[in-house]
Amino acid sequence: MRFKTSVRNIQTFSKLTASLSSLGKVAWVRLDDDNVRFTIIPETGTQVWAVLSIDSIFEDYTIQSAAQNNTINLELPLPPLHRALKSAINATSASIRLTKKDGVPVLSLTIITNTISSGNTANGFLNSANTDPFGDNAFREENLDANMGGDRETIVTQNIPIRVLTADSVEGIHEPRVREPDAHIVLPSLIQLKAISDRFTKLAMATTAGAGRGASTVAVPKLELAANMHGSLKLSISTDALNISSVWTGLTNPELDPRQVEDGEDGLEDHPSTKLKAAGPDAWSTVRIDGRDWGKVLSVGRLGGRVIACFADEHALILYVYLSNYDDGSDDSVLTASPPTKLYSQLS
Amino acid sequence: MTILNFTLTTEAIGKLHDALACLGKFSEAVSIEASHDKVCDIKYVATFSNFLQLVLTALNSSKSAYCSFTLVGNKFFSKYLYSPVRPRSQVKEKFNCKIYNKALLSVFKGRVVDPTREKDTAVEKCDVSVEDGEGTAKSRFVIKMACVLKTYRLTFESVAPMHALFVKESANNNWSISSRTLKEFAEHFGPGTEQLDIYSEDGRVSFTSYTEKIMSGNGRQTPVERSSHANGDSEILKQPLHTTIAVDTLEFGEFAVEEKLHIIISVKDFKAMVAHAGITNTMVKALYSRPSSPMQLTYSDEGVVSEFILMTIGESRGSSATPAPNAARVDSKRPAARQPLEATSSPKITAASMPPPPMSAAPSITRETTRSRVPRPSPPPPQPSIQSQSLFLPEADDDQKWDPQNFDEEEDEMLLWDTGGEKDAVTMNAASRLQASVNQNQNNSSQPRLSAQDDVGPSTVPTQRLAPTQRLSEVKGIFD
Repeated sequence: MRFKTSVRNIQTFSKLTASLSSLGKVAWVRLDDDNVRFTIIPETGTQVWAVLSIDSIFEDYTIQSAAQNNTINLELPLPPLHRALKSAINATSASIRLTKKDGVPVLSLTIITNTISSGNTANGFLNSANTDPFGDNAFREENLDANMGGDRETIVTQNIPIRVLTADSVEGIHEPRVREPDAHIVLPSLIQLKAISDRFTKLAMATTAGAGRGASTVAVPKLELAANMHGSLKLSISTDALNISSVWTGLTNPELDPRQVEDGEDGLEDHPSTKLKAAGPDAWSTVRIDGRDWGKVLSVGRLGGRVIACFADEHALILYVYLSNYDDGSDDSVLTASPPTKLYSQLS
Repeated sequence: MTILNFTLTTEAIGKLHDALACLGKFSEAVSIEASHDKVCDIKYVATFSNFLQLVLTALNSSKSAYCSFTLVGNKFFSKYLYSPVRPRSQVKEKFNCKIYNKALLSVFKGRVVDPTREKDTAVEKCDVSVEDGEGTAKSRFVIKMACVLKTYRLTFESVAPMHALFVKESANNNWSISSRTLKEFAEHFGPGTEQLDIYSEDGRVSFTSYTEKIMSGNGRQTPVERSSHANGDSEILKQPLHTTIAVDTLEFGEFAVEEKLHIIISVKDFKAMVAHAGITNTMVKALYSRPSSPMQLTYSDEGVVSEFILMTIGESRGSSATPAPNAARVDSKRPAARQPLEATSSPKITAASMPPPPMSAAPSITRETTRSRVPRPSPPPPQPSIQSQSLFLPEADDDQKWDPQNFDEEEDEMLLWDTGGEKDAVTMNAASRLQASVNQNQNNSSQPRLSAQDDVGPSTVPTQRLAPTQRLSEVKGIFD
């Protein structure tokens, strides 16, 4: 079993892990010849099924295993992975390999940073002004080399403990099946949506749970999200004390691709979203979601991708996140071609 | 009677707060020692009678880490007066006291100058006086904040501090490095690791942060460990990151260390040191000899000399070339055992066993002749490094807006009175008119509390607040 790769886009990978780790602490990672999958199935909350093409985050990718398609399944703790990637933000290069350290399997992240001049010359100026006669180093001697600022290499190695999973243990895990959505809509600015959602949740908590204290033990009113097929999205929350909502208009309801729909053109005619559209702008598809969970979901906004929300009325909400920035030179046609990250918010 | 009296400028308040915050990471109590410098012991007493210092120290509970900040009287303070109780008595030459650190910290907290806030709220100066009396007389640590005058009276315990011993002469390994570089190193270390191994070979130095559990792996497990391992393999996933940073020795200012010597200290202590050293751009100097002997880390900044003495962990990997004189120690299979630092509190030995002072008498002569007689010397120049940092926000911070909101956190933001803001409101109103009444009000409220208290606790800080003018219940009423 061998796995080794260079990280091609550290920023994107780091933002992805940040978004994922707010939704769950452990991910099932499936690596094979074709793509990289991150799956998070928390006990409660939102499931993530992310499929990334290899070249969106990696390059010089080598994988080898006895399984079909050279598949390797790993169980990976997300916070340490994210932490490790933080070290790589200003790196010259970063690579990952699967190895063993003292008998424990680890993902070893090797980060190389070249510094032109180090910090120890930077303080020369400050210290010359420092006339402290008591300091040990009132007359500091500096190495000549320190001022020449040669190309110095700092290598940081971050070992993330992992578990290698057998093919059997992941066989039974399947993506949730959700009925065809009633409405699909491109979400507005996620940071705006997040700010307003968080505000609503806080207001609701403050007006229901006493003075808003100890709210974790009290049932928090759910946010109500609704979309129509005429470009509107409605966010609202209601408690005994208040009832607030925000409506976005002029959003896009993307056309469905007949090839993706069961029974093609005919299926599209019978599709729930077609019916909702026909019912006019006052026909909404509504889901209710825990505000705290929703806030975590919206943290995928940091990826800067396009997000399409699919509403299955009173049943489920699925977000399709399309990575936009995996290659700076990419155009829109590439974006939609890349497999989306899907977030399933199952509703109780 | 007042034994000690000193005045702090705004900058000094900030620095004192930084030092206290660092000391707080080692111990709950901070020992304060006011003394004439040790030059008093030699015959130039008359010349140097104004040469004073205040030493803040903390020793952790396992006595494996010691932290000290020496505030140089005439540099750090704008005014510093120390009048020993019995000037003729040699024994009472020093004044010692021990204070609950959180009490002090909360006094200075929030006093740090924040350039983004209005100037009105900044403290102009801070007078501290220590009153001590014989027998039944009250011993108090009195802090007066000028702006709106606020007076804090803290109780203290008269205990001689414990000083860790460090024998500089036997420390054959030394290096120095920029505090900023060390700060960058510390940022790579994930949370939860325990040890930091410093090792050098072939011009490369490695800093490894790890936890002993990972290092021992499958090898040296006890049956208990093995069985617990069997039923919970996912425990592995909870292991902290194992981080190695390998750098060129050229990153260091000086580097003279024995090849292939593993020296292991606690990551926590290291991070505490770096967090303080990294505030300013300075050179951190390390001195050590061999495993199981202490390591000394020193650096200095305007008027503050910082020293850390950290115990190093006994040899665990057996690859050191140093022949340890104690054979039993080499054979020890309990690598994580850290011997406590040698420390002493006996007043007589204290003078002799004080950590080697990082200052020499010679330069102080020049210092003395040029010493300004102006009661309030100009404050130390602002540190450009700190300002430049605030100009360029690190990129990572920007990303935080995406983090999920923590709704469980206590929030004063909404529908509640921000009691912290009340203080500012007072400031902005007629400060001079209120000053007298506030001060009086404070005295009334805090006096009875203190007299009833023997122990030093957080409640001994009578923070000055005006009561909200509207009841919380009334506020809620709007929505109910």
